[in-house]
Amino acid sequence: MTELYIGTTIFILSYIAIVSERIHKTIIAIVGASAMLLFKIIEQREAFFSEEFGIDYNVIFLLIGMMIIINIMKDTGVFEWIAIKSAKFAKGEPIRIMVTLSVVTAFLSAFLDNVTTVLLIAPVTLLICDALEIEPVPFLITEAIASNIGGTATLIGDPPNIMIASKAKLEFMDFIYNLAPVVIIIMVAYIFTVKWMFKKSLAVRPELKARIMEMKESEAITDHALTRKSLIVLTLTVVGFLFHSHLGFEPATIALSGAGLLLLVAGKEPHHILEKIEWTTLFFFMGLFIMVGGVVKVGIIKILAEQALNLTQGNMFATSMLVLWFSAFASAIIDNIPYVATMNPLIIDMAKGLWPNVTDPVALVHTPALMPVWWSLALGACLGGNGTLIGASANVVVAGMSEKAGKKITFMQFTKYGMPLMIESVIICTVYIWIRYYLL
Amino acid sequence: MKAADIMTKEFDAVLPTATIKEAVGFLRCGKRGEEKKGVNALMVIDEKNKLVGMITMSHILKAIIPFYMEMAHLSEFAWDGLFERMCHKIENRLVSDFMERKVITVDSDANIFEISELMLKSRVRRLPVVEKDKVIGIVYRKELFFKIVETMLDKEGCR
Repeated sequence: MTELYIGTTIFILSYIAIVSERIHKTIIAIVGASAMLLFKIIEQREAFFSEEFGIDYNVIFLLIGMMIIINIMKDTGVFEWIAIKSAKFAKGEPIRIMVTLSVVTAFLSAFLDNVTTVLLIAPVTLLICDALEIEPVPFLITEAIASNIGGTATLIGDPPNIMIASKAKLEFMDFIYNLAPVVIIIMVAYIFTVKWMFKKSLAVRPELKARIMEMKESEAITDHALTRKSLIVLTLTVVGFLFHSHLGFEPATIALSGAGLLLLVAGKEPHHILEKIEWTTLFFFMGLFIMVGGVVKVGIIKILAEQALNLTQGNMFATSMLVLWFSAFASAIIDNIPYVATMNPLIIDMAKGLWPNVTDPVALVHTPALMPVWWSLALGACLGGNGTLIGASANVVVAGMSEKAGKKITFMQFTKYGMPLMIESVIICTVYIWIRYYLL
Repeated sequence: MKAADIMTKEFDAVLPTATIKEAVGFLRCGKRGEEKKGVNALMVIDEKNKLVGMITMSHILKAIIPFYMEMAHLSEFAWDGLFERMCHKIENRLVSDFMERKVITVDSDANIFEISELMLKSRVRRLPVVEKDKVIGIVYRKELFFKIVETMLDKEGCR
């Protein structure tokens, strides 16, 4: 019983510390994890090697693989090429540029990390806005939101999806079948909303549009050979993801193989590439997994799952809706990574309570009635990030860049656009889940 | 031979509250010893006579280049008129917005090896010389060169 109290206390204190943002979240995760180990809430053997309570290496190595690929790719200039090409495709017309750049950002975010995508697209956006002599803030905000929407569509698009896929044993194509359709609908609605929101404020003189049309996007490519190599490897990796279950490989294997292949053909010093891996993020994940393992082991998550079941009386549509809306608002305020790390075991414990006769763990998480709950968690946690400035890392990154450009994006300014757009997207999800999983 | 013996005693400095435009004026006509032939760097000294920063040509160039260009190698996409616009955009900003705040200084009784080592290690070409927290002069790398010349060669100039 004391273990229950100690484990829960460590977890709650760490959560409060993460939310307060006084100390870096990675430090908190490492300290929290070591506290779980020191108090013997979780044994080191379990923390390192247990699939149920330990570090989820599927997530860690999938992230490492994708980080290596993107770190090699980002210096080739191919993303700048894409961004300038899209601005020219939009004929230098601001509202069309806003739409094309949002679509490009969403598409890239479906396959790459959201922060990296906005870090690549935002500088070009600032250049384009400067050339057109217009305010960059609406462009940056719409791109951050588009990035969070796009990331929702695939298994590798956003960390919550990677984590859900690993715990719920879901495949790449499961995400495409179940999430991509609703993400496309959300994106279309988003584009119409954005056009309506900004169409009045964006008019420019023809000679300024000419500046965009005169840009030679080919000059953006710094290394043609490496661009070709990395595009081939990225394509192979994405194809690998599409067929990973047929090939009998986990997504992390595909990502790591892609990374290995690109390292081999790129001919760059590995330490230059590997030092750019976001180790701070990875250690945050590792510490977090150990902490969550601790609270799962002491049984507090099971108690919470029972409470949630009492609330919804075992009605699965009500459960899906609760998970969707609660996740959206929770992720708008707190980091969706610790949130999903906590929710995953909660949903599994809930399934154990609902179907005590199902003993096979894979069959349990794949119970047909449970599937919409997983999709609700993914949609809520990913899209919820759009609600406020601190809801997603991509938002924080564009705010930082905007401030550097002399245009501060305030919390309220972002929320004014983000919150209605988030609610719009979650309403679409509600209708989608209801029709697709409960009506048909 | 100490820093105080090698240093140049006449120098210009700017206030942190001066504008970039004023700083550029000093860089063009700043005192280097007796002559006013322009300098590459200026010490930033406040009203209380305290050294608070250093501003060089590099800081001004950095301020002129939009940060996003540096971030993503986008300088090849600049258009005519952008340079002038950026110059005008920053000319009335304050020196304190762009100056280097961590200034490497040298004590007036530092010897020539200490000065040389510091210049090599910190990759600077000039070091403010301080005595009891007050700037009393500046040593240029060129002055070290003159000392080498004095030691190795005769007094005759270039032939």
